[in-house]
Amino acid sequence: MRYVLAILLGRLTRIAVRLVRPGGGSAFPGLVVSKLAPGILNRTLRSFPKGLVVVTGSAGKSTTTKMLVAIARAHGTLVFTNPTTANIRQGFYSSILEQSNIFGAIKGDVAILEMDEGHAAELVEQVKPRISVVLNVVEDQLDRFVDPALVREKLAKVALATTETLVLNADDQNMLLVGEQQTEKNTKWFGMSDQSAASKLGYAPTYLPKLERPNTTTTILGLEGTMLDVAVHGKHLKFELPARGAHFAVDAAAALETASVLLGAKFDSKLAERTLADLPPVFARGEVVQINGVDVEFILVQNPTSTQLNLDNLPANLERVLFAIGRDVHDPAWLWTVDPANLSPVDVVTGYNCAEAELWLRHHGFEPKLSTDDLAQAFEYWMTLPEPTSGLRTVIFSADAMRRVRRMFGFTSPNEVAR
Amino acid sequence: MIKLATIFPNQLNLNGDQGNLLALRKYLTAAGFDVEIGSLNQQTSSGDAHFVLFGHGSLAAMQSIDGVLKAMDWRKLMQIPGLAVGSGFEYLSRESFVSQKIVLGDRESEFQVATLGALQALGYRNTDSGLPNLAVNDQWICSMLHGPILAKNPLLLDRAAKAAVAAAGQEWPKLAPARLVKWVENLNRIASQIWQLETDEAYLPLAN
Repeated sequence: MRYVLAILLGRLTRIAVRLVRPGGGSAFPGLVVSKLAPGILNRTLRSFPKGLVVVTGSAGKSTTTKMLVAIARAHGTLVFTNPTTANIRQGFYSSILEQSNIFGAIKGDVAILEMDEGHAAELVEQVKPRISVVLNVVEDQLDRFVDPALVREKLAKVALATTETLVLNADDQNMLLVGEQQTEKNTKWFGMSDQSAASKLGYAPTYLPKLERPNTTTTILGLEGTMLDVAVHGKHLKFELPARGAHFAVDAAAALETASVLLGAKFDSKLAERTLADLPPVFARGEVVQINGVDVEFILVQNPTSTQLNLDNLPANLERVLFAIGRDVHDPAWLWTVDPANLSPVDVVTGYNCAEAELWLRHHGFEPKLSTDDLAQAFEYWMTLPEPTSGLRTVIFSADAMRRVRRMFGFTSPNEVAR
Repeated sequence: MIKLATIFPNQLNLNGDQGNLLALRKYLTAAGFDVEIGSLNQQTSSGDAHFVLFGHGSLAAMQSIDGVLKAMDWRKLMQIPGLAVGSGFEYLSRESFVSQKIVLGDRESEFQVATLGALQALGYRNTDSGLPNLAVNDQWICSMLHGPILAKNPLLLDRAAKAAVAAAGQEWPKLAPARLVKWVENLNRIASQIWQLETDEAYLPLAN
């Protein structure tokens, strides 16, 4: 009963916010609940019989979580999870508000939550995860985290708090360092058999003597285009990924390994294969939408590594590119760590940080036709340019620019994301 | 030929600091000079460089190259024009090659503007070192504003480029080539937009 008032006020706030800002505003109602009923978060996360599964690390959290949740649900497991945009403390409250009954209770077998690496380290001090998937450390958000070694320390705290099983990336030396400190835990490893491809995934160098790579129980055997060939505990799976790039294959391997740990003997590899084969892309990871009746591909870039990997995986000879860097990129200096050699000519640069992006692009020889912080103007102009003779019109954007673009065109429901 | 040299470019590029050499190359090329970029990683002399960049690296990266850095002839290097940013500047301070001392305090993580005589620089400060955002030591510009500060600050870029040209024994063109005029127009336009976003202080354009 003690949470009824907080839930009611949170929901009223959500209705009010959505009246003003359709499709947005999930954070503020969560903030209201966190102030009125701070204890609801710990109580909820401790209430699931199969415990809490945390998915964390610098990159790939959203895709891995979405894949893992889909596999678990396909096996009949009732899952409480958070949407992509709600992976910090406030977002967890929003997710409870969204999915609980009026008393703040949520039916479910397990909580599978994507967690920002900073917030995960804090939250696990109160609620210990049963299983943690720690994906990687990349050089990201240095204005916030300062140094990759400090990110690794935060992830090590998550590993330390985990009560049962750690699922770690065998191709990231940072994860080997994390695993080295947790020898008493049951640790499972995933990774790529092609070590040359793995070395291009952009994990932060440790500059320490290389640790011996552990044996993996889920192994990527091959990736041709989007067709993934993967072995999970000796079972061979082959399916098409929802998006291009080896980093998505690694996310799939992480999800499959974790699902096999979570589901135990119930894990059906063929069902997992079918589930991932049918999975739509996570918001803006290779998602194709229609704008004014024209197909447009959305590609989200969030940090130096994801930008580099996504640019490296662009189809050859793209002709129509709009590049948008929004307010979420607090210090755009990291753009200069990215080599845009594989980026086709960029027609339009936009978003709050368009000037920083234009400066970087011009130093690499690009000459955008238009640079404006006005997204509507940018799209209006871009859509008047001739249709490409090959490939799709492609929008490459940061998270803030993505949210604004989605709102502008009314793509606000996760269910609208089509393969 | 203007020879630009950089120290451990792979390790010392945490915030895109190597972009400073891109900015210098683009500017010098527009001014009509041939430019070459090399690395000083494994040698203790300055070679025949006309400008040296000492970028910013992670804690682990700095530890991993410490031995080589210690073997470098910094007294000689600092007679050549150069730029040290972030942990590069901190290293020079710790080893007493510059007069500024580290005084640990609260971490500052924000855009700041530094002024030094006629120079002005905008950039992101993310440090608890207490070192200044802009200082000149011998021929070196030192800054705790990390990332591509030359690209964002055309006045600073112009000073660094002219110092490199002088070190090469060449002369800056008396009449700016059309390509340079156009590039400076672009730089001023973009930099003034960036300044509007990141600071309340007025942008001082680079004269053509």
